[in-house]
Amino acid sequence: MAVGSGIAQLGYQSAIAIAKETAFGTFVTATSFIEFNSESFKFSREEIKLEAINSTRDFKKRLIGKETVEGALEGPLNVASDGIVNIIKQAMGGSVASTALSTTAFKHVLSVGNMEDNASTGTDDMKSLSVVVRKGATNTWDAAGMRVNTLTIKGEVGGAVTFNAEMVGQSMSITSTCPAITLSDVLPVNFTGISIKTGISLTTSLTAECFTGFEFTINNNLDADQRCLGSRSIAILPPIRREVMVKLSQRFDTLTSYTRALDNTVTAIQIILNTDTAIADATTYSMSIDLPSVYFNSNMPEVGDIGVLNVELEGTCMYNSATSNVLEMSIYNATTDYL
Amino acid sequence: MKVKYTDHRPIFIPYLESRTGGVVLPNETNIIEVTTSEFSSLQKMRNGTKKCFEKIKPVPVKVPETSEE
Repeated sequence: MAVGSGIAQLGYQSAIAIAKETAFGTFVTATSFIEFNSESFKFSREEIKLEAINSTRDFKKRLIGKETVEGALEGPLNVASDGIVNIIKQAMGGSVASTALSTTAFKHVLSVGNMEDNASTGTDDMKSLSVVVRKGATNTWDAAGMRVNTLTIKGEVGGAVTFNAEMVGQSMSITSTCPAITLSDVLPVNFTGISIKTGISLTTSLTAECFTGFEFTINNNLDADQRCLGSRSIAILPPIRREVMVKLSQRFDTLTSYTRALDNTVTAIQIILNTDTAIADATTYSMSIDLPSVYFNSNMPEVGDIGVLNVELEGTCMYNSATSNVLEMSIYNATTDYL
Repeated sequence: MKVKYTDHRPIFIPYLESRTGGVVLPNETNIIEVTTSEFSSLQKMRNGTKKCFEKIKPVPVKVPETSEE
């Protein structure tokens, strides 16, 4: 049978799994599978067509250049999925402190860090992620040394909250096996579970505001071209400046947000994402994103028709001296820890 | 071989050789029949340090004693 005319591999058969790497680039068999909407993991090689004068008009010699592993993963945000929590943890770059709320419910506080020194006592650092990528039913690739360059979590009225992780890695190889797939059976966060509160600081009482959408982004600015002679792969993948941004959509009714921007006042924002699915003891699968210092930039509505005026509030998240961070996340689920 | 799901987190296994239509654990059942290779990957699934699947040891069959007559 001619190649390309056989039974085609299908998208629904595909699978993605995540595992923690304690040594950057050393693959660990990944078994934390994720339900996803789309992925674009790929391995690519640059070609070097030698420009040397060779007595013809044509290129005669071609060398293989740098190798790149990158890809994006987008799907519904399920805080019960260990794979998704590990992606968020890697994007945050810091440690995770876990406390038991009951025998089956746990709270995990994710801190920001440098993606290197983030171990809890008695454990190893999470340096990066291994990703198992099965495209179709049979063909599986193992990607190692993956780090999250940008992580976006967004929600809007009428849909599930989604995450999008753009990742860069060190190496990718084809493998003969894909581990048995297990997926979380907990529902992801729906728009009905989103509440956003604002205030002067996270420690004072925050007030709920009515928003129609949010988009939260961490940009780690990974330096993805640090290499060594003798290898096509990247040698290190350091995160440089971290940028944290939040975009909020709101119907325009008062000048509050305009005044915040004009007066350059700091706003503390807490985004709560709740599945309303109980774990135990009235705890639900949920998470919160705590942003202690947000400054709004754009805040005026544009008039394009006769309907309701909306305003897009673009906020920049800054380091806060009182909390000693730019953000913190708390995740509530049934997993004991993420050490 | 038969394995028992010992964790409390609800999961869905979309395909097993013994259950091609998938199975929900632990709500539907907590004991499943798996192949050796399926077990080796399921064994890597943990909740903290605790493994989520454990092999069910076969109960030894008692041979009835025969009386010498």
